[in-house]
Amino acid sequence: MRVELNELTKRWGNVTGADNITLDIQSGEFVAFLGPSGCGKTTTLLMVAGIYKPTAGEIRFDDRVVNQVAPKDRNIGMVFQSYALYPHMSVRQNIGYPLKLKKSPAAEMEQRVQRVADMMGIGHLLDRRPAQLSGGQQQRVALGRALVKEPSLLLFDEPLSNLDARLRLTMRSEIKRLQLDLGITSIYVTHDQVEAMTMADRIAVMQEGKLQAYAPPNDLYERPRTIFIAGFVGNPPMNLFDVQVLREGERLLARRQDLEIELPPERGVRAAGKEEIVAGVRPEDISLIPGAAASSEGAQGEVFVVEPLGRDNLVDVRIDDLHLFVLADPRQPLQIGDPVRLQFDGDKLQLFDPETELSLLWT
Amino acid sequence: MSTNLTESATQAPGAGRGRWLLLAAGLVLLGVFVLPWLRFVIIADQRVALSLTGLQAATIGVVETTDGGLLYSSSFWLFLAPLAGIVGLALGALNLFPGRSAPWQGLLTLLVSVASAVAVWGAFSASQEVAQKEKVAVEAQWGLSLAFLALLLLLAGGLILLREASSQKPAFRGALDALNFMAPGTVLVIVFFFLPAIILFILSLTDLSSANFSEPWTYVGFDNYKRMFSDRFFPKILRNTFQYVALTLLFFNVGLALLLALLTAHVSRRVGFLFRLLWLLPRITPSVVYIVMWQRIAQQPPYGILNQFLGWLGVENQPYWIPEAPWVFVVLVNGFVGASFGMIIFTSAIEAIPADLIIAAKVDGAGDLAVIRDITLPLLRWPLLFVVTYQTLSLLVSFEYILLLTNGGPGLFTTEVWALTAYKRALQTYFGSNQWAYGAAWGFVLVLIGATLSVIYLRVFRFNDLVQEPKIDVL
Amino acid sequence: MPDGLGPVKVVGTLSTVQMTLQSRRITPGQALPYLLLTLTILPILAGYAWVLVATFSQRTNGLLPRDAQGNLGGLTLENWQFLAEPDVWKATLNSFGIGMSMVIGVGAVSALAAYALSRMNFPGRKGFLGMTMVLHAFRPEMLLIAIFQVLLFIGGIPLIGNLFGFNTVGGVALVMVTLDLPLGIWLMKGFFDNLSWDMERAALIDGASRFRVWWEILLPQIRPGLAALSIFMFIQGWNAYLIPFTFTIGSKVANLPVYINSFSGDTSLVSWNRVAAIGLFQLIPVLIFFIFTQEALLNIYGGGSKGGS
Repeated sequence: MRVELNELTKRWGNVTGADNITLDIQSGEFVAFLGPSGCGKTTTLLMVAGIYKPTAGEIRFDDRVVNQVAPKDRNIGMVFQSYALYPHMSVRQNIGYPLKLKKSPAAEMEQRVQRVADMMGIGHLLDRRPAQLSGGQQQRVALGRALVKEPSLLLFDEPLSNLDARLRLTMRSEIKRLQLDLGITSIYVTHDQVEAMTMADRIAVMQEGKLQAYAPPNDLYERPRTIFIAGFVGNPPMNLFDVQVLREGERLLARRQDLEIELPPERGVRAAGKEEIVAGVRPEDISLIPGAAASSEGAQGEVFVVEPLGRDNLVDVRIDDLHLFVLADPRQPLQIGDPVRLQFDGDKLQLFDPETELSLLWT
Repeated sequence: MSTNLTESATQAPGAGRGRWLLLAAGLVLLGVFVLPWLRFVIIADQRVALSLTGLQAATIGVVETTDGGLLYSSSFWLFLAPLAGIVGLALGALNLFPGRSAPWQGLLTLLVSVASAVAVWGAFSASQEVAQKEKVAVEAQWGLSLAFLALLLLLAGGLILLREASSQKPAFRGALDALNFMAPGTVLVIVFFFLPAIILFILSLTDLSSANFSEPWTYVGFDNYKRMFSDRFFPKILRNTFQYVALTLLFFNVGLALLLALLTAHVSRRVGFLFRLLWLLPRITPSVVYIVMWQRIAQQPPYGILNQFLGWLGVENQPYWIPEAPWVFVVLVNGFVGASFGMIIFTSAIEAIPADLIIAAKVDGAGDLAVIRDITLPLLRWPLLFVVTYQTLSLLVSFEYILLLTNGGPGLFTTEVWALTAYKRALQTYFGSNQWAYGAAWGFVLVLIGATLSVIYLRVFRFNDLVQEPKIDVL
Repeated sequence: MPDGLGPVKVVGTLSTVQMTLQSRRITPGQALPYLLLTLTILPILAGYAWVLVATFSQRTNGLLPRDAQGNLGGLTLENWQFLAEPDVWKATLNSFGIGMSMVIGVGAVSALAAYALSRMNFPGRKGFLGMTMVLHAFRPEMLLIAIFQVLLFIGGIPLIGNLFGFNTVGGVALVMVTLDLPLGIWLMKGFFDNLSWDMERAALIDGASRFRVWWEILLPQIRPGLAALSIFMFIQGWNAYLIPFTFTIGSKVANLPVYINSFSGDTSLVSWNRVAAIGLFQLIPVLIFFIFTQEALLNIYGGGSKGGS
């Protein structure tokens, strides 16, 4: 089923929960709503579910406006962060509840509950109460309950945040696989960008009720459209700093005190005419060369802190008053205070307008 | 998916229950009213009229008197009732076909059935008047009772119809959903809170008493209020009320309550719990038994418990203590009940004080009393204010224990408080008659005072901030 | 929100602090609270002691049982002869009826209304809530004067009047239910406020109507609160004096307190020991509930008034 949100807005008095959200979701697509807490992603999801009534705008399911359709008539399944299992019912009753409300015949109900439970790997737990299950098992029950009525749309509200890290990884791939197999259109709300990046076909990044970007994960990562997205997507986050744009003959330079980066012509052209811009560079796009070599190439700085991440070292390099995070090979022996040289990959450099906070490259 | 949506739009949940109610109600009404009426009109002959049974006669508003003449009861409006039957029948039939209900049908049914109910009610009273002399009484009343019930059915049918019809309009549906939940409570509150408040006021403007009960009420303006304020004992009662509220509040509902909360917090946990529990006893003891206990405590020798103790201590003066010191006992009896409320509130407030705060104070060298003075009491400011306002309201209107203990005595108005005066004037055979209207005046002023205090109370406690918004929009 | 009125969390109690900071030896300062607590509760204990003693004796002097000659002793069961009188059982039945009406009436009506007030948005919601809060403090018993007229009116309606009119147990129960409704609604609202929104949302998405959510999902979760409220309401109805006394005439519709009071009026010759026995008879169910539901009762008596929580 295709879902379309059209200038969707939710307000409570002066408080705006979701502001003018417009996006469309293709049939079978997996879309993540990503943003910090309080950004309006859950509000939007609950409007799609029919729990909240939009103040303005439209929700369309397959071209049909469903603003006034009650949640129970929308044929959706939803999985909650708190699982929201009914504590006084057994697992069987929990999963069977949507069917019971549809007045399905007992035999069919039994069969479908069993099938869904087996699919979720909880077939042997059907007579337990939710309180007797582990967090992962409870989440599978919740998922089973959402799937049992064969919904045309699946909604996830931070379903994995209450699980421990390892289980989260397992469930992540299971949900993704399940969604691919069943082909159900899905919306997945999360504040964890790794979840969003790994699972979603497209990500809607939201901030303060507004839709900041709506694009496939790689696109968001490589072509961030705003400063907010650049800083929010990617871990460790992108380095963002103010620079001045200077022209030296043919060359275009971005300078900040002793730091000088040459802008490649095709990118520099977008910055021409601006004096001050914000530059962004990801930690993996900076190469770190130990020692104070004589070469003038790159910028000279000193090691402030080294954080070992296992596979890499995250090095905080100080250049005057600027701190830059750099991913470095852990085999390089680095001590606090060591002089280092940084080289920037100009082709990976992001440029933003400090006034509008929009990218100079991708708009 | 799309089929689902279409279905939900045309088929309202639980559709069709209303039509059967409407049909049944319509049939009953027609049976009771229209058939005898038609017979009366078609064969409009006095002899036929005379041969009507009591039931038929009464339901068409005609009653035969003993001297052979016909008496037309006052209910021209009674024709509304068969009309209601026809409407009910028609709408019921119309709704036998699916997808037909519309809000106006429900509204129409409601209007007609309410109007008819009023008419039938009028007819019923009229027939009762006649029935005091005539033999038709019993049957006629049965017929009208039946009609009345049928109209209630019609009302229910109309409501269901309205609901079914409007369930397709989401804005309507939300309000109606809440209405379903609120209806029983709202009806009871209206019938036993709001209507009585209005009746109380109207009553206070009349001279109704048990002496002129069967006559229509006579409007006397504000005479009852004038009489009340010029009553010889008015100042005394006012003083009594103030004394009762202030003393009980000060010494027990706040004073003792605070003391008990502090004391039970300073003994071991289990003992504290035990004592708090014991203090609940007065509250859950039936008032009648509780008062008997106090009377027995205060009795003269050799029965009284207090006097037995005094005897052991060698005290000579051993009277029956309640008439001796009525105010002491009024305050004691009420205070022992009232103290537990404040005690529970204060205790939970004290338990909410972080232990760190008290440890810090102790480390700084504060003693028990200093901790109470400098830490506990300042933190109890809000609960204190809450208990004071809340209990002022409760005490102002309570009189059950005084009624049982002293009934306002001994002697004239010694312990009579405002609420008790209102009650006794109106509902106790006092000086020979129930002066409902005069008592109502006393009562209404108290209601006004209470309402004013309540508004202040809601303001002080910023009531609006305490109400959380629902996190589901009703669709 | 004013502090101290919200949901109260026990972070640590004064008494535990006391115990950790002070030595185990009992000092005069430590004994004082116990002494004060015992002294203040004495009248209540004395009252109860008298009821217990008097029930089983011919006469009492103070708290001591005496026989007809005034000597110590005279223990007897003759005060319990009232059990053979049909009037007592009629009164007991009426009391029980009022108590059960309170449980069912207040329980059902306030559970419905409290759900809407706690979880639905509709015009008049705040007004109703404010009114509930006020009426719960300000129990307007002088409205009885006008309620009397309402009951007379209901009494005139055919059929209904015989069940709920003036001088009927049904009428008394109806008035009592209404007067305790604000308290019931306020407490129930507190129970509903604490339930998970996600669970209700899940049920709505699963296909339940609001009514089914209320009945199948939410009510089962507030069962302990419901039980506590039921016991409280039963005691209220069982103990009721003023309203039955005001709205009934004669022994057919009298409940136990009214029945007892007819023996203990100031003017009549009081048979104290007999009154004590009937009093104890009436206290038995109350005390049983009291012993088994201590904590819940404390919560109800205080919890209903914790302001906004």
